[in-house]
Amino acid sequence: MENIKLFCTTNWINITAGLAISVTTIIILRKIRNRPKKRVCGIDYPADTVILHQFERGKTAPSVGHFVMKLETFLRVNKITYQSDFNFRNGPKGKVPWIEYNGTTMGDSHMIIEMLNKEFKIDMDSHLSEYEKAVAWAIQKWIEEYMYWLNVHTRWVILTSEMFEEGLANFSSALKPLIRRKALDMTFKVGIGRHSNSEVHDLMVNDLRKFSQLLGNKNYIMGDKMAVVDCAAFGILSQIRWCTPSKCPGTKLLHSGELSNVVSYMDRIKNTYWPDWESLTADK
Amino acid sequence: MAFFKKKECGKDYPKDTVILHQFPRGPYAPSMSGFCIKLETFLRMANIPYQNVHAYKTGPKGKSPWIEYNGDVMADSQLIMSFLSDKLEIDLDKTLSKEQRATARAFQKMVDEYTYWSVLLERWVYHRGESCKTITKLPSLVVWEIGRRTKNMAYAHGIGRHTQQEVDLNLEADLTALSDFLGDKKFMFGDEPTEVDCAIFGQVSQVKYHVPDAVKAKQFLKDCVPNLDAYCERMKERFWPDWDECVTNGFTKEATK
Repeated sequence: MENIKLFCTTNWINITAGLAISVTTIIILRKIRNRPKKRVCGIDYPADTVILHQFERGKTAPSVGHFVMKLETFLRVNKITYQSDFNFRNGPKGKVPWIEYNGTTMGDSHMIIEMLNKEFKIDMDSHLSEYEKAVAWAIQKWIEEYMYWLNVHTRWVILTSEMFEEGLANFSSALKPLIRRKALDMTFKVGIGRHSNSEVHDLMVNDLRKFSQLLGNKNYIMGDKMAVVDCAAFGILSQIRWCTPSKCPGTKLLHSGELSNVVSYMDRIKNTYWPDWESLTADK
Repeated sequence: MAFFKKKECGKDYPKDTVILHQFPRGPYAPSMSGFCIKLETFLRMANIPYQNVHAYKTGPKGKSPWIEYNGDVMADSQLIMSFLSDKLEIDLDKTLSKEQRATARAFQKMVDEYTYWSVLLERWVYHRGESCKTITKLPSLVVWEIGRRTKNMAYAHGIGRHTQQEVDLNLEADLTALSDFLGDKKFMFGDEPTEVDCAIFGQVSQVKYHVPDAVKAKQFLKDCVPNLDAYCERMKERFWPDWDECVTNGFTKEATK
């Protein structure tokens, strides 16, 4: 026993180095063993079917992902055959949604839509003039690059506890501090995270009012027919309305009746393209 | 420990004058920041008296530009513009309908939240070496650090996860949208400029003047969307008759304003 103690005290540097190298090697070998196998179309997943990798279904909407709702709405509007796969990790750009289709793996909803447009020879914006396409592009950028981040900051930084209390989060509440820290890191880098809570709330409320003024009495943003921008708008607005805590002033505004045209617009898309909404969001 | 004295309006700076804190003047346009050009163009468009303080010191939100005005300290170009418009009862959008104002909001967000990031990546990440030779005299180690931080921030934003080719195409899509919306008009909403022209001019001027020639969008602006290029010249002539005094002309002289 004395000999072991003596050995340890005189060789502690070598022992520590040896332990560190062993642990690192084990971690690396496990990562290599657990890395996702490259999947083969026709064997691991069916051909001619979009495999939509997304989060587990939500409790109040089919997904808690803004861009998942956008892309899945697009697939439904254009009647593209797809299957949901709830293994959402390891997407090519590290975000969700991502797809596999006939041997191609892709991330980013906009790029996926462009690829599917070419593949299936569809164009939801074919009825728009160049001027209208320009307006639609700008509106899409506003909603996806600003309103989206306002909602991410509201949900995962300002009202994180409420997300779990109201059962809107899809994962364990033990992850709450980690999620909040990661979300704040992202929103700070984007810029929105530098504003105060009241500034973020006011910005969202004002943008929702402006969106209502833009929509006016039209059935869809650009007129009587749906365009890609409507998939984007539904994606982001569905999260604010159904998947953000009730304390959020933007969420309250959507439930208040003041923006009835926006609510009718969202219901129009939901009832037409999501007839199975209730079954997808059954309490688990 | 340094002692920071709180500045007093009327003593340390004049009353009823916006003290505009922004980066030092740029080599070919009044600033390397689209937001600084945006805000300064707004002040000129709205005839608001202002004084410049040129420094790299950032404001209360850790960014530039920021202002001091009659005891208030504020950051974020768009929040500052709303604040000053309310305080001074100015409305540069008074000729616009509600729907047009909302469309203007969309274009402002497009250029400030998306075009902006594409330009940053082109300048500080993809073409950093050329930027060091042509548009900045900052030491290469500082530029390397700016590139590292830009990459990190752009990754968090999302745009940094795309390839360089994808970012090039997205930047061209933004410029095309602006050009198609502008059409034959003098300014975005007609014969007279409105508030959104400040934001659009701010970001597009960076593509025109402050990215290396190797950036595809710079040539795209000249060759493929000439109406947008002409629009930039028009904004410059209208609101920056002293442009030459506000640039260093490729670091060959001091800016005097």
